[in-house]
Amino acid sequence: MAPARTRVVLVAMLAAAAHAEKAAAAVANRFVPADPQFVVANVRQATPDTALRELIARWRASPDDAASAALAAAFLDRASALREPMYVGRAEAVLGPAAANPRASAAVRRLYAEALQYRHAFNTAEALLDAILLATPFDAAARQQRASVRLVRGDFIGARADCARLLAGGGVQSIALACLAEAMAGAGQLQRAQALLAAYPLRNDDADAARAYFLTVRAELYERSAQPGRAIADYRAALDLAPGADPIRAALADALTARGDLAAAAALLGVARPSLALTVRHVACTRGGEQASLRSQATAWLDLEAARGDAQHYREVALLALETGEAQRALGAALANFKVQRELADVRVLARAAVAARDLAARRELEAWLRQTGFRDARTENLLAAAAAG
Amino acid sequence: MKRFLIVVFWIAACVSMRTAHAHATSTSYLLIDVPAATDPVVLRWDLAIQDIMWTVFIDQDYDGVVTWREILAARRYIEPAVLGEIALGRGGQSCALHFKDMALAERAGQNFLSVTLSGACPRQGLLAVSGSLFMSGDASQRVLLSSARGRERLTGVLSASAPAWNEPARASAWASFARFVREGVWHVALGYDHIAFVLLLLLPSVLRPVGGQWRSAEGLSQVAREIVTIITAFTIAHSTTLALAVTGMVHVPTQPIEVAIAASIAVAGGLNLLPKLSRLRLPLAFGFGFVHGFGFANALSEIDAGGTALLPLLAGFNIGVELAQLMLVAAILPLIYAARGTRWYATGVLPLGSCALGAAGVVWLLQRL
Repeated sequence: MAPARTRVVLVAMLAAAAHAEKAAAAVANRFVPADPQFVVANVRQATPDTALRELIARWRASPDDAASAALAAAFLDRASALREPMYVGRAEAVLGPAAANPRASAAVRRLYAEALQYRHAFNTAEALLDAILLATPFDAAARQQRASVRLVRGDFIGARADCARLLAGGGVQSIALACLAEAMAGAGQLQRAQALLAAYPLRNDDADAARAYFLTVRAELYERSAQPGRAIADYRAALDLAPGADPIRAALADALTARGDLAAAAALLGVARPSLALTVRHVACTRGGEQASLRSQATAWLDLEAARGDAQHYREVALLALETGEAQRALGAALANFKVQRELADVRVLARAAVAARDLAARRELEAWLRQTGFRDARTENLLAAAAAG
Repeated sequence: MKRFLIVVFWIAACVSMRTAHAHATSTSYLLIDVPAATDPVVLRWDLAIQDIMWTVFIDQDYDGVVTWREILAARRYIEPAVLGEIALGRGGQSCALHFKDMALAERAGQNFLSVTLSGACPRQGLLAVSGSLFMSGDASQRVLLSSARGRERLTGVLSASAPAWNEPARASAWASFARFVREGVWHVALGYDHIAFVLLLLLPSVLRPVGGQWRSAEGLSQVAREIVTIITAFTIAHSTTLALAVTGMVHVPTQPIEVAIAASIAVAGGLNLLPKLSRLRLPLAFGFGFVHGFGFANALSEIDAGGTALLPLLAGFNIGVELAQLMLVAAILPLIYAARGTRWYATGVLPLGSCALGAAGVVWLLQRL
C-alpha cells in the first residue's frame, strides 16, 4: 500500500505493461493467398525515390557530416510529409553515430535533437540544443527548436527568453510573435499575449505554414479566455492553410466537442489513415458500433506502443480512459503525462481526470501549479471551481 | 522556417499523430516454441514488407504494390536474407537454422510476411536469439519476442541498441518462495495504512479497562497472549481473503477495498478512546483482516510474478507479511510495555496516538471516496 499518488501513477504504468505483454503475445492467424495477384502491401511510402536513393548512395560511399545531415534531413522531411515514423528511425540511425563525434556540426546535432524529440527524449534533445547555443548563440534554427521544446514541457519562462531573442534577431516575425505570445500566455500573461497578437496584422505574403501557426496560437488564446467562437474561426482558418496538420485538426475538434457540436467534430476527425490523437478524440464524439471500433483501434495502438517499450502516450491513454469511465486509470495517465508535457491539452486532461476520480490531492496539485505559473484557462478554472463547489 | 514549423507542429503530438498502420511497420514479431529435448526449435517471424524491402528486392515491377506472386518470385532472395539476419543458440552453442515456409499474417490491418524457421539445436540449455534482425538502418525498429515454455510465457523486446534475447533460467520453487517472502516484507514496510492499523491494535494491548479507565496490564505473558490472539485472528482473516483473491475465487474491485481499509483505521482509532469497548478489538481485527487481505491481493497483483507457481507465491507473500508484522510487534512491544505504568502512557500516548492515526484514516477515507 504505497503512497496514494505514487500508486495511482504506478497503476497506470503497470496497466500499460500488462497490455504490452498481451500485445507481444498476440498470435495472428497465418494464411496463404489463393490468388497470386493478392495485394500484400502498398509500399509506395516506404520506397525511396531517386533523390533519396542518391543521398543514401552518397552517404554509404562517404558517411561524413555533410552527407549524414543531408540524408537525415531528407528522412525527417519524408517522415513529416508522409506521416511515416519509419523515416525518423532511419534519420536517428544515420545521426546517432555522426552526432557522437565531438566535432559534429551544429546541423547534425540539431537534426539529431529533432529526431530525439519525435520519441519524447526531451531532456537529451534540449541538452544538445543548449550545447549548440552555447557555442553559437545566433543559431536561429537551434533557438527556435529549443523554444518549441520548452513550450511543450511547460518551461514558459525559458521559452519566452528564446522567443524574444528570435524576435529581436529578425526571424520570421509572425512565427517569433506567436512563439512569444504562447510563452507569455503560459507564464501568466494571457491578456498581454493576446494584445501582442492583436497588434500584428497577419500578412498574406507570410508562408501558409507561418500563418497557420500564428492563427493556431491565437485560437488557443481565445479558447483560454472563454471566446470559443473566435477560437473555432481561427482554428478553421489555420486548418485551411495547413490541412495536413493534425494538431490543428485535433485542437479544432476539441473546441467543437467542448461546445457540444459532436457531429461537426466527428466529420472533422473522419479522415483517412487517422492518427492515434484523432482516433481517441473520435471515440468521444461517436456512439454505438463506430465508437466501439474506434476504441478498439486506439487500444490496440496503445498496447503496441507499450509492448515496443516506446514512450507511452499518456495523454491519449487518459483521454481514452475518461471515455470508458476508468477515472483512476485516467488520473494515473494524466499525472504521468503532466510530468513530461504541460500544454493546454495536458492541463485540461489532468483537470478532467482529477475531477472524474474525485481526487482532492490531484486537484490541489494542479491548482497549485496554475497559481505558481500564472497559467490561465477558463475551461479548466470553471471545471475545478465546479468540483470544489459540488 | 519549414523545419521550425515541422518541429512546432510535431513535437507536441509527434508520435501520437502517427497512424496506427505506420507504427506497425517498424515492428516485427518473433514467436518461439521451446520444445521437448529431442524436437527442433521452431521460430515464427512476422515481418512487415515495408521493413524488409530495404534489405530484399521484392517490388519487381516498381509499381509500389507488392503482390503474393512477387513474394513467391523473390523467395530465393528472402530465404538467405532472413537467415542472415537472425542467429539462434542453445546452451551456448549455435543452432543451424533452416527456412521452412512462408505465409501471410494480418496484424494491425496490415499483411505481414510470416516465415517459419527450424533450428537444429543442442538438446539442453537456454535459448539465445541475436542478429541484426532487420533493424540496421532504422533506430525505431523493435522485435517483439514471445515464447512459450510449458505453461510459462516469456516475452522480450529487441532493438538496435539491445539486439539479443536470452531465455531466463527457470526459477526454482524455493527461489520464488524466497522472492515473495521479501515482497511481503517490503509491502508491509511501504504500506503506511497497514502499519497504522497494526499499531492501533498494539497500543492498548499493554493496558486493561477497569471501570471505564485504562489501567496497566499485569505481566508480560498476559500481554503477549492477548497480542498473539489478536494478531493471529487478523492473520487468519487476511490470509483467507488473500488466498481467495489470488486464486481467482473471489474478485473485489480495488477502490471499495481501499476505502474500507481507511475506514478500519478510523474505527480502530476511535475504539481505542473507549476502554469499555476494548473487547471489540478482537472481532475488529478479525473482521477487518478480511478487508486487508483483499488489499494485499491487489498489491500482489501489481507484482510481476514471472510465471511463478501459485503455492510458493502465495505462501511466500503471506509469510513475508507475517514476518514484517512480527518485526513491528517486536520493535514496539518492549517500548510500550515499559511505558505502560507511566501516567502519560494511558492519558497521553494512547489517546493522542490513536487520535492521530484515526484522523489519518479519516483523511485517507475521504481521499479514496
